[in-house]
Amino acid sequence: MSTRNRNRLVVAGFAALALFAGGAAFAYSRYKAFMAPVPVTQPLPFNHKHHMDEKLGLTCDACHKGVNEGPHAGIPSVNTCIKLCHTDPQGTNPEEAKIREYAAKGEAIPWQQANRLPGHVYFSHVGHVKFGKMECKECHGDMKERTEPVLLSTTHRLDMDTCMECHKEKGVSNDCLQCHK
Amino acid sequence: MNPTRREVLKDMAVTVGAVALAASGVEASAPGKKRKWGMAIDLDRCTACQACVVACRVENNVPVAGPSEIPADRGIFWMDMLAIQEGEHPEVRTQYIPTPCNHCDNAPCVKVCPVGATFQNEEGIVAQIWGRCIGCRYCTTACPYSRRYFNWTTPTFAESMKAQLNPDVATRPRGVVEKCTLCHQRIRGVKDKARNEGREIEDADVVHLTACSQACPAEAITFGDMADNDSTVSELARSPRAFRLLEELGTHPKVVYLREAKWKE
Amino acid sequence: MKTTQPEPGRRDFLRAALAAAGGIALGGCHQKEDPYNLNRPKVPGQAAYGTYQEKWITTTCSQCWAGCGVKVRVVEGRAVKIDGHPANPINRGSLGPKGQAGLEVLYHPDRFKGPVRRDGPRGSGKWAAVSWDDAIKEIAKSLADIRARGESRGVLVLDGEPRGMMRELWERFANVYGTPNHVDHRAASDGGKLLAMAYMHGIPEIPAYDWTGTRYVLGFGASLFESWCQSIHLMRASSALRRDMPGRRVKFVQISPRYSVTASKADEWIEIEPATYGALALGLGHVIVRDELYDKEFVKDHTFGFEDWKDAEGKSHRGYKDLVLKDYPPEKVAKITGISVKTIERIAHELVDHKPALSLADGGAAAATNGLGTAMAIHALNGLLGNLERPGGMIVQRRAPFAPWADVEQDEVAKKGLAAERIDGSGSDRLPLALGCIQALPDALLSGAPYAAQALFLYHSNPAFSKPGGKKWQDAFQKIPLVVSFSPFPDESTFQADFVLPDHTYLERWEVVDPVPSVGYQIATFRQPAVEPLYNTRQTGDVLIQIAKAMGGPVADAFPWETFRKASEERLKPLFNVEGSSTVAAKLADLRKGMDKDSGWWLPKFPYEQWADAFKTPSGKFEFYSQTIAKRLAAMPGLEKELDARGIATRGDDLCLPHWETPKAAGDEAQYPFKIAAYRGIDYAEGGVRHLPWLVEIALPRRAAWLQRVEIHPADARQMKIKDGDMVRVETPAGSTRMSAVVAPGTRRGMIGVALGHGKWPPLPTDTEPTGGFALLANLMDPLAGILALQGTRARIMKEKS
Repeated sequence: MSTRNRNRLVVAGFAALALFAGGAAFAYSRYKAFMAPVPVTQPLPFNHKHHMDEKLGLTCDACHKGVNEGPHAGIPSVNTCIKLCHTDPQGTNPEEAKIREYAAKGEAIPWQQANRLPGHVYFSHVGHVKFGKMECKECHGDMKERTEPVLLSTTHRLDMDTCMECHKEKGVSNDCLQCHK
Repeated sequence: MNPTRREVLKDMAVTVGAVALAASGVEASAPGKKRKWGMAIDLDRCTACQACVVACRVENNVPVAGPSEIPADRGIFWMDMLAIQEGEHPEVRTQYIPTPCNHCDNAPCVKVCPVGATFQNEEGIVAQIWGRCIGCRYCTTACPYSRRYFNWTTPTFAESMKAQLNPDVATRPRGVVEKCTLCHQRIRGVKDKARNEGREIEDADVVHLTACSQACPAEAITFGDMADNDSTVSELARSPRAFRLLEELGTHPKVVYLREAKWKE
Repeated sequence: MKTTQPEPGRRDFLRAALAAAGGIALGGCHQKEDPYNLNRPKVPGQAAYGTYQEKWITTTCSQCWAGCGVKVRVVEGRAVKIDGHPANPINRGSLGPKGQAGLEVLYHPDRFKGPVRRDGPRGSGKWAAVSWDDAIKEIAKSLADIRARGESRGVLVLDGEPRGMMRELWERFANVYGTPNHVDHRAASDGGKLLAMAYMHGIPEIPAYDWTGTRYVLGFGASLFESWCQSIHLMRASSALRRDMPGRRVKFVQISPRYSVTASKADEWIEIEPATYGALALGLGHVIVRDELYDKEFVKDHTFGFEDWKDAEGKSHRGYKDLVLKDYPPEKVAKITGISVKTIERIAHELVDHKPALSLADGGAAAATNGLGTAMAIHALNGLLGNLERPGGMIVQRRAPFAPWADVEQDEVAKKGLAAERIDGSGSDRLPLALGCIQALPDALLSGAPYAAQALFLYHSNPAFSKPGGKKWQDAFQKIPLVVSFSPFPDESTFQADFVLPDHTYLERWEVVDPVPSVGYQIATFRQPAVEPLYNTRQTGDVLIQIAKAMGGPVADAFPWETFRKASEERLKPLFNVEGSSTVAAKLADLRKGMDKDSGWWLPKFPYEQWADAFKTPSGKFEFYSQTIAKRLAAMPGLEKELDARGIATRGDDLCLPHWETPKAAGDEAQYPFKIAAYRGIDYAEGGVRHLPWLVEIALPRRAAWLQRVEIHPADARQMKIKDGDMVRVETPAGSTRMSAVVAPGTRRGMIGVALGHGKWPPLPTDTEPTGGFALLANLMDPLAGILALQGTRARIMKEKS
């Protein structure tokens, strides 16, 4: 093989490598973008702290009733908000009137779910809260102190390793079907 | 497995199904109070109405194949109805066999999966983690019962039909193999319910738990714990009418069939 | 909708790696939907959205008339599964394939989203939205005009419900408006069986069977596990008969030409020549009478016309005994049916030795030109064995004691209209023994005789698909000035409509249900919305009340209720405080609560041996010899001539007794070598289930699920060089269609099996090829009773050139 040919081969090799690396970098950037959490928008600036402080003193399960009943924590229907407090204007926030508008239309408040699991994962709130005796804040952080509406997941990066580690620690089954659906 | 033992097992299974079951049951069950979910399908009761087939598809978000995929044999039926014909009119016999996954204790599909997407769970369910499957289809080839289905196309649901999809069951994308899960979402539900009531689950909770079994008008399909000798399904499995499909392969199916006459292969 | 993305799974990494290796960008970034979670659609306006609230709503299935109780699982306002209701005595928690597929009806993408009016020529399928008020006003005005012209008799209601409050509401409308033309579909479905009941019991109702006590079941082509009208109850019963009684096992013998699913599930299948069931039943009767094995006491006390008898004028008449002994010796019957004398003798003796034994047929068995005689012959065996109204026998289905609505005040117009001859000819000299004959309509409508139709209402009806002569129906509809359809779906008949006023689906409406249950005792169930109506649809009962109100005058007076729900609840009073019933309630709210808990109301007492309300015949007994038939035929002028003209060979008393006529066929054997065995499978419902993919795809063999199928015997197929899966053209004197050949070993040689109700969906106005199987059938019928003959059309098959 002549030197020229060898050089050509080297150049071609480098070019291929560069192309591959570029492709990989591009794909990785797209992949990161694909995987990055996207904040949701909420219809109302819900203030957890206000609802949970000493004056109102609501506990988590007062609104997220499902934590003691089934897999989903759930959010209360607009009618519950109305029935409990918001029949008449409360506080000073003009946004608050929207609750009654939704209720009058018979529509749900279009809350957006920020804590989302992949579709093939099953998570049971009742299993963790009632049977597992875990505190909400162990995963969600201290919502009592939160004044801003929830736009990004409060559970940080709850990945499969985190789940499995904890299960292992607590002697809970790590059978795939325990958490996959 | 020791071939001699296997031969013996096979003979026993063919002649006295009950003994065969007991033998395989002892071999398969782990110590302690482990459940082994299984099913008994009584062909003398079955009327081939296919309620089980439809109920399964509704419960488990199985997409409709449609006119283009059905002729290519790409329809997905976790629970299928096999019609086996013998002879020609007037000397004719058709045997209808509802066929879910057999949830073999010695499952060929589990052995061939290169990524561990399919496995046998601690309660005997041969399951599949959809997100893990790479779509190589080794398992569909390995399964002697053809009870595994590959999603050849992106499953589509009419927009209005999406409202019907069961929130307890994940949908599966294209390129993934899927199969019967013994309605494990329902098992989970009944476990949670029992736990909430502070008790263990009982045979009565699960005897018609799966969608197919619940739908069956003839009560031909019974579900339950094969490791519990007192369960309805174990009792049926000990019946002299009991047999299993292709048991000579040594797959140890946990779906038991019942039939008065011996079924000629 | 913006969401946070799911955690990466192994597949995603692989995909990323693959993309990197290939140097290609990932396609479809920022997917709108999680492929593992397609089931989170927004449900606009649903207050439950996001709450994960789960409810189970008790209601009644409506995929057939059996009335199975169901509970619907509703999550966040979305119905996600229908299960059987465990308390309901009809289905006890189970549910058949049709019931399971109910959600496809509710969420079907092709549903009409609101009322429409025609926006193009008839049959164009072009629609423009219209408001409910305008549509109702306009229809009411047209109806009022027709009535003012004195042509009220020309209003035709095609009603697909065999019983129940909606049917009675239509009947009320017909009675006060003044039209005799309220036509149902029963002549084409369970006609034979109903007429046998009408003439031998005096009660035109589908009977019930006391399965728990039966020891032997003889099915004459009875599609027990397929399209029998209470299949789910029967499946439960049959499986219990086989396995739930230790030490006792019931034998089930099925007689049919085609090896059906039911035949394959029977303990013994006996092959028979098509349309000769009647002869066999009479042959069995011969053996039982000859050997004096019949229930002598029952025959003496509770039957009429067994022995020869003399009428009031002293004229002697023939009885059943003389007829079977003289005319149906086993040797003769063996020749007709192709069943050996030995088998006939054996079956007859088995029937007697295993009392109580049941002799059963369904509409399909009697669906031949000799239908009425056949149905009566099969039913006569039950009388002979003395197992009517007895444990283990056949029982007249007692209906729930709904209070009747107040009588309507008929004015002169109504009286005049109601006195007119029916367009379908039933009850008149054209079809003296019929109780409705829907398939006679197209010819009558096209000829304008006896008179022209002015308006047509299509309720649960698509005759252009579900009856012979599809194209003819469409042409006939063109002649009617006003056609209104209540169908939720576009179909062949609805294309001809001027207005479509879409009904709620059964999961969206409130209704008291009077089911066809086969449990024997009284039962009533109800429907309530599982979900809020998805679209701008309205329950037809409400619409009919609104139309009546808009008409004013006596018609409006007959419909004083605000809603159909109020109208039906008014009738529930007799269900209050019934001792022994499932809910002993003093008021409506409590009754409703009980019905909600149990999925119905029932009085679980089998009405054994209550002879007083078992027979409503002129003799008050079970009539082997129907005096009602005798009376009707005696009133027919020129009977002999008519019988000759209609090709009926039977004469005299035999016409009033169970008898057998040689069946007629359409098409000659030389040109059309095959007999068609048209049958209804489990996936059949009136008008087909071709719009419900879950049911379409349960067809066997699966590969041809989306095609029309013709089953051919392997030897016949070989002879014609047809392979399984070949496309063939099937031609009959009535029409031709393209079908997929299924080489089916269970098909008889010289016969082809055609499953009814399959075909393309959605139908389009431009379709030229008729589908559904009925398009192949000639419009043959019993010439006196109007029973549609599914058996009798001949066909030829041509292999399609590839």
